Amino acid sequence: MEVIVNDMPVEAAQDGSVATLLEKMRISGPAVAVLLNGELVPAAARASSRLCEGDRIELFRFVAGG
Amino acid sequence: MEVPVTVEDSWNAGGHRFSSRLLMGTGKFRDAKTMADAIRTSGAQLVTVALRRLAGGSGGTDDLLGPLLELPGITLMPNTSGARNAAEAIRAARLGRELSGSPFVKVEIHPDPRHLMPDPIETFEAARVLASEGFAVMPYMPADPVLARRLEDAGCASLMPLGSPIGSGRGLATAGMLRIIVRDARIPVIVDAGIRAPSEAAAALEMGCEAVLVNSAVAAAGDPVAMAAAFARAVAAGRDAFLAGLMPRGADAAMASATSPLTAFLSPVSP
Amino acid sequence: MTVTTPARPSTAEDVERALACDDPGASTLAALLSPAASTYLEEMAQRALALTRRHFGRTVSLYTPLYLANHCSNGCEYCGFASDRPQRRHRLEPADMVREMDALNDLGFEDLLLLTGERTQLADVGFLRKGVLLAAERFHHVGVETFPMTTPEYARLADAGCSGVTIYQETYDPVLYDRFHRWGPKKDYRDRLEAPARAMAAEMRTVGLGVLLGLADPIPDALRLFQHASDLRKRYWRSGIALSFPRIRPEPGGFSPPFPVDKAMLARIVFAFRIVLPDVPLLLSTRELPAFRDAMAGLGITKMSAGSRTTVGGYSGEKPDDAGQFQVSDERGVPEFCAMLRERGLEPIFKNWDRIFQGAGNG
Repeated sequence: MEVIVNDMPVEAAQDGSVATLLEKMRISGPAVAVLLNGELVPAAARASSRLCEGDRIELFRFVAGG
Repeated sequence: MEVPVTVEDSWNAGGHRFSSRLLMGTGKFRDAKTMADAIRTSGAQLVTVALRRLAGGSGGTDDLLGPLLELPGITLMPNTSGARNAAEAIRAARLGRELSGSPFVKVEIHPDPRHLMPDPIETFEAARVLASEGFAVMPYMPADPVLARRLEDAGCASLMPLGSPIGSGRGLATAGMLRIIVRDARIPVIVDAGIRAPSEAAAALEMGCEAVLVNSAVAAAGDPVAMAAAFARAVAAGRDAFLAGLMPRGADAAMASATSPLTAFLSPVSP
Repeated sequence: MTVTTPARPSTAEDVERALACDDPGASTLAALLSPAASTYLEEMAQRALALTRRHFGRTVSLYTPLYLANHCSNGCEYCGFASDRPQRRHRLEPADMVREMDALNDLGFEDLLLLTGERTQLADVGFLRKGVLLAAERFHHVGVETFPMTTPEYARLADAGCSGVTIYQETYDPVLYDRFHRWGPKKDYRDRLEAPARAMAAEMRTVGLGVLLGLADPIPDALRLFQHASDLRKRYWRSGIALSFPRIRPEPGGFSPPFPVDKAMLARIVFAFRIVLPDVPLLLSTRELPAFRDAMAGLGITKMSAGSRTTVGGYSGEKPDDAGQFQVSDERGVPEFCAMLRERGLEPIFKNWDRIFQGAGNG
C-alpha cells in the first residue's frame, strides 16, 4: 500500500507499523520525530502504530537554529 | 550590604542548574565544525536548535548537528521557529521534546517576516498551554513588563525579552523596559535577540539579567570561535559587576544645603 | 523570603551610596535606617521630597476612617478597644451608618475606611458587608480595616464594593507580637501575616500594610515590612500597596511603648520608605500632632486622614464621652486642614478613582 511521507508517496508493507516503515527507510529511531496524520507518535508507540492506505506521515529532525 | 556567599554562582530554570550565563544558538554558522568549536569555547550549556522536516524523506543524522551532539554537558532547547501562531508552536514544541528529551522549549512566534517581532498574544497562549503540559517554557517576547508578569503567572521557566529586533544588532535598545522586567521578575530574565557586541551582553548581566542568548553575533563575526570566547568573558565580567554592585550614578539630593529647610521641624525645640 | 541581616553595620559611605542609588532595595533601606544615617536627615528629606513630587505631584489624598463597631474579643495591650478596657460597646445599625456616611459626604470625603474590632457575632463579615454596601453607594473608594478573613470572605466584600483592605501586622517580631496580643484570635501571628495575600488573591485593588511603631525595635520591623510589601508586590502585581506608620505616642496613664519612636526617627522611616518605594502611597493619620503632619505632607507622605473620630458614631452621634481607639492629636476640621495644604502649595485630593470602573467584567 501507499502512504505519504513528507509529501512523497512511499510504498509501505500491508499491515505495517510506523516502526517498520522507518526501518525500511533506514531512518534511525531517536533522531526523528513522527507525526501520523498530524498527531505525534512517541518513539515508544511506533511499533504499535499501524499504518493504513493513504496515511500522511511527517518526519522531523533537528537542524541548526537560533 | 550583603556579600554574596555562593561558592559557585549558578542559576536555575526548568529544574536544571546552569553555571554558564551564555546561551547559544546554532544557526548561521559556516559549517558544523565552526559551530561546535564556537559553542565549546563559549562554555554554553543550553543551546537552541530548530526543527525541520527531513528533506525528501531521506534518513541519516544531521551533518550540522553531529559535532554538537558529541559535546559534553549540553542541554538542547528546541525552538518553535517557523510557527506563526500558538497552535503551530505547541505542535512544534511537542515534536521538539520528542527529539531532545529535555523539557526546554524556546517559544518563538513571529508572524511578520519583515521584522520577526514576537506576537505577544499567540506567545502567551502557547506558553500557557505548554507550561501546563510540563514544559520549561522560555518565551522569546517583546520587552513588555506587563506581558512579562502574565507569562510568569502562566508558569514560564524564564522570560526572554528582546534587546532589539532580531538580527538588528542594535544592542539593548529596550534597556529601560528590561530594567523593570528584571526588577519585578521572580524567574530568570534572559536577553534574547539584538545583541551584537560582548559589551552589550555584559551590560545585560550588569543590570541583573540572569543570562543572554546569542547567535548571529557569534556566527556572523569575523572569527566566530574567538568571538565566542569574548562573549564568555564579557558575560562573566557583567555578572561579577552585578554582584559587586555598581557605583551609584548620583542623585538630585546628593548636595543638600548646610541649612535644614525641610527638617527644622524635627529639632528638639520645635513643637 | 527571609530578611538578610547586613553583614556589618552601615557606614556613612553606605548611606551616601543609598541616597544616590538607582535601584534601591533591602540593603538601601537598611543603610537609611541605620544609626549612620541619623546625620543625613536633611539629605534624605530632600530626596524624599523630590521623589514624592516626581511620582505624586503636589497633591495629598484624603481619606477618613469610620468606626462601625467597637466590640472586641482581643487583648491587644495598646488598644483602646481591647476587651478588658472599660468601654461602652456598641455598633452602628444601618440607619446610624447612613447618618455617619452622610456627615462624611458633606465634608467632601470620597475615600472611606470602615473599621471594627475582632470578628464577633455582633460585628461579623455579614455586618461589615452591610456597611460596605451602604458605603459603596456614597463613596468612590471603600476600604476596610478589620479582622483577618479568608479569600472567599474578602471576595464577598469586594463583590459588595470594597476595593481596599488595610491590615497591619503591628510588629514582625513574633515574640513581642505574642506578648502584646494577650488573648483572642489576633494571637495567631501567621493568620494575620497571610491575610494581605488572601485579600490580594480576592483581587482587592489596594492593600495597606504597617507596623505599630513603639512595640518593637523599629529598624528590623521596618525591614520586614519592606520585605513583606516587596514579596506581595511581586506575587500579586495587579494590586497596589500602601504603607502606614502609626506610632504609639507616649501619653500619661496610657500604654507605655517599650521602644518609643521619636518624631525624627518616624520622619526618617518615612523618608527611607519613600526613597526605596518611590511610587507607593505612604499614609499618616491624626495620631500625629498638627505641626508634624503639616511638615510631612508631600514630604514622603501622600495620603492623610483629617477631622477623624475614632469613636463609634463620632461624626453624627452625641456620645462625646466615649473613648476612641486611640487619641487623636490633630483635631482640626477638614476645611482648616485643606487650607493648610493649599497654603503649602499642595492640592487636597478627595477622589482619585471612580467606582464606575469596578466590576466591568473582563470576560
